[in-house]
Amino acid sequence: MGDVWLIAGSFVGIGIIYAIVLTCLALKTETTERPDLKKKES
Amino acid sequence: MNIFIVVLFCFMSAMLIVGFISAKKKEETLSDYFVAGRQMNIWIVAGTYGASFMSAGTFLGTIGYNFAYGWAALWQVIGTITALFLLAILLAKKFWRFGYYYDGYTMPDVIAHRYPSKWARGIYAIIILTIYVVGMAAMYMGFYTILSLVSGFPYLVCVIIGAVVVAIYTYSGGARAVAWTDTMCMFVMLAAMLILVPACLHYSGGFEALVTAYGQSPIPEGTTWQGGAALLSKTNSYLIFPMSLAWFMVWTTGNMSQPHQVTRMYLAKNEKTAIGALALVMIPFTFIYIGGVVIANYARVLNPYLPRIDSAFPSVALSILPPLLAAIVLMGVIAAIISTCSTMLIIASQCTSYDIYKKLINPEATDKEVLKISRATIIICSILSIVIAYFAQTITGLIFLWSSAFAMMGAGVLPSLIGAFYWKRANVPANLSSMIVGFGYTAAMYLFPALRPAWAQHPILPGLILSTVVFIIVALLTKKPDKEVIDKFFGDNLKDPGKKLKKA
Repeated sequence: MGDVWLIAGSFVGIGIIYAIVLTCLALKTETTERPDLKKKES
Repeated sequence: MNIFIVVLFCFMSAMLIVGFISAKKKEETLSDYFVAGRQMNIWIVAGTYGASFMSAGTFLGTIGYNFAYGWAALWQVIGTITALFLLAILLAKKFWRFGYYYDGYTMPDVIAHRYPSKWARGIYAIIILTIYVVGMAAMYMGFYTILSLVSGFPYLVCVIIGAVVVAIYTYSGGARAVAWTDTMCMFVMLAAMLILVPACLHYSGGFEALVTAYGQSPIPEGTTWQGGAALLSKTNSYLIFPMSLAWFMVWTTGNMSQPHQVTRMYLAKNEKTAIGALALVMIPFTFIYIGGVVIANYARVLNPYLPRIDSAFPSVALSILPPLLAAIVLMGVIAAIISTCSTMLIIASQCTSYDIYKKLINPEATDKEVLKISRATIIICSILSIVIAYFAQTITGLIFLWSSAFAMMGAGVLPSLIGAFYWKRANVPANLSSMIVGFGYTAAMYLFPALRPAWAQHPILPGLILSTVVFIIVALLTKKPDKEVIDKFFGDNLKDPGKKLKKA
């Protein structure tokens, strides 16, 4: 029985690891300035 | 009164209202209609990506597959979420910057800028258009599959209801309406799984009891179940390396090159939003896909003699939930279907009005003319998909066509897509030959199964290997791309702003 828990847990774990890595990547990503958006807002 | 019809009516009305409200917000330019002005926040990008990704295939096809294959289907989960991960890591930022700096709206735009050839844009746009019209027909047939279980509506009426609602809000609000309604659909799908997965675990006595019951469920007599007795072992023999690798590759490569998924990156207001949205949707994705395996296993315990495996999901919902909850859960499937259809519809309209008409036939066309053609295409494609669905009448053939198209798209486009951003040597002949060989060989393997090598679990693998080899060899044997093209894709515009400043 433990093997099924292990397999299912690993797959959930991979989803969580992916989400954490992508969150870190998103936080680190530099953004391009959008003068076009500022113009529209003003 | 039929509670399912009431819930369906409320849901469809809500979709139309959300579509109209979001449509009225902005003036109409190509950027507004095709990519929502590139202003969407992280929630909407995550919603539209997730909802476009999940379709009738997820709730009917995949869960049916899980019903037949058991725990081995978990590899499909990892292949699917890995596609999302790789898209975020490899393409999201570059795709967004390409769209912003070069007014990119479509996938053929990327290919045509990087591999300047009218042929590349034209062939690719026509392939997408054809595949998506057939894809929509398959989805509307899935719509009928659900509606036929809970209402007495005739086949054609069900197909028309789905097609008309999607066409109305896509026509009026373009990408903005599609993005907002998709997000609403994503919440409905999540709610469906949050209701049904715990219910399955509750009625089966918990996860361990479900695994045991699944392992003891009978194989229907006279039915050739994939895996035979081994299917019913705890982890079953399909959890082996070649099978795992095959499904991992199929879903990863196939999903990474689908225009209705990848182009969602254009809608984000910046690069951070594009990547963050994929991070945000990762956990719901994992939950929905693993939840699907739980539901499928419970469906097998509940009724191993199901006549059609694609009715595993609705049969569980209708068997164990009270009518109102069952109706909400079935709306999750309807939400998956119409959100994918609306994205396919807007992409098909872009391919016709922008890639084919503006870029190949009449470059002087104004935004207004392009939008007119775009809207006309939405109506024509919707009618065509109804006609195809009417004449097909059986979903098996269309799902086969749709899944083979999925494989052809992966095998034909992925090398060119990755090469566009990561290999300076990639050029026009390499792109054209790899696309033709990838599409052609994969299609040939479907038409003549004898062409498929014995080791290949799925045609996409040999198709992709061959198209990649052709792509590399032809690129090395032919002329390097022009400096102008290289500068566009490897120059400052696609680099991080910090790196540009340092250089300055």
